[in-house]
Amino acid sequence: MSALNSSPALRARLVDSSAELASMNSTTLPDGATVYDNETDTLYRLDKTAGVEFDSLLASGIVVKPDDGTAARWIADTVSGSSPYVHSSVINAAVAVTMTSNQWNELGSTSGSFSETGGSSAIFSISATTGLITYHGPTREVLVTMQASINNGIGATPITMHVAVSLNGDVVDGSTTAYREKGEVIEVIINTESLVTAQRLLQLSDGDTLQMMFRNETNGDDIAVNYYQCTVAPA
Amino acid sequence: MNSLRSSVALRIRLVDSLAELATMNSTTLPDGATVFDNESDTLWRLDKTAGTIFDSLLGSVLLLRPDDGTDARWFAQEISGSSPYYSSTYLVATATVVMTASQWAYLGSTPSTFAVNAGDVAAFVLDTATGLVTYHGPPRVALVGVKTSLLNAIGATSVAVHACISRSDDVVAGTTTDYSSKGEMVIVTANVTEEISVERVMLLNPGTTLRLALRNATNDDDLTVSYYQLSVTPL
Repeated sequence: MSALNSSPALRARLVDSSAELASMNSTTLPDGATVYDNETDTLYRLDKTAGVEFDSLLASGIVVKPDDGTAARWIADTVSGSSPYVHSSVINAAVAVTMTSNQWNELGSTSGSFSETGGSSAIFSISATTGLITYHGPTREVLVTMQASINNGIGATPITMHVAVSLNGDVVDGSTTAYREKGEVIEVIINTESLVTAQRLLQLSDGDTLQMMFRNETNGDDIAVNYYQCTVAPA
Repeated sequence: MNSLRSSVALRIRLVDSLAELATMNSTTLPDGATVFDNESDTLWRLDKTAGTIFDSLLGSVLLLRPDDGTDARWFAQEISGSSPYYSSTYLVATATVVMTASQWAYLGSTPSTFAVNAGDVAAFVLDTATGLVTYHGPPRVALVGVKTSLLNAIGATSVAVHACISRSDDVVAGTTTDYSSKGEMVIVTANVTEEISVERVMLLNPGTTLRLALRNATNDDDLTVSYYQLSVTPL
């Protein structure tokens, strides 16, 4: 047992500001200690070996670096009672996805205009042109939902459209693989607007990426994505 | 600094391994005490009267039995900041659901092949032939969602297909009841594949079962379910 564990007074503290938290000497605290900051309504947990991995979150307040110069970091567990590791993003205007018959293609392979509508841009960054979402936080379990209103703008031939959620490109662009375990569903579209939804329960780690994928099983008709939203909700 | 802070410190203990937690004498701790294990990044809560009811979870990452031989058990509350009581299952190959006009029938009533793609298999036990998911964890509130792609395989007649998530068979097979209060949704399909999505917020108790119920309100055309995913997200 760590000698520090035997001192209960060190295990959970309250502070009135992040400055007070930063000035706390982390070397005298055990790994995993918690502190609640009244000013920001945030519960932090100490990771004494975090190093610089999450320092891109320092300005957001999700991570606090102690003034003692160690590798320790205070990482937000909850803010106002909820996990801060949430995200939503949308497309601002219709965008085409160029399809090759029966192959998976990425939303964003043709440049569009995407923007974040919820969450912290420090935790989830989004490419404004491709919609690619990149996670920058500690490991968390999340439910990822991607919804899109789409049609095949070219002809009246019914097409069978597959959709899925790709984690780090694991729904491989250009492949014809079935990805049932990655939230794949299908819908037949006959030149009318249709809603498709793909969903995956995932463990996200620092650097992971998310993207919506489409596959036109029937032919090479491109599709128009007129509305799109991605939400990431913590489990 | 608030003088009450010193008392807050008594609420949480820290350990460096599960072995250390198991050796902790639970008889000297209050019911509901919490311990954070740095090694597994898990927050545990003590239930001193749990007994053996959840012992099927021993050996998973969700339950730990103290060495003191009492009825007490440690339940995982959070792992890496997330609730571990989540699950996702999916359909491996196309399944048929035999319909009687306007009556509810369960996906899986004709055996098919289902598999797990996320979550603890001890807490959520999947019947791989019927898709029935049985929960074996402590009481939790969860958002249960199903995304599925289906069509009426027999004819081109437009049929109205209703879907609903059944909790412990509270959507009763063979009945024609309206289950709007249980998240029932409907789509119309005419021999083309359509996606349908249903959700319910519910309390999961030990033994609660989950499955998808379908109803063809138009005729007795059987349904072909080509894609399906059931996800359980803790709230």
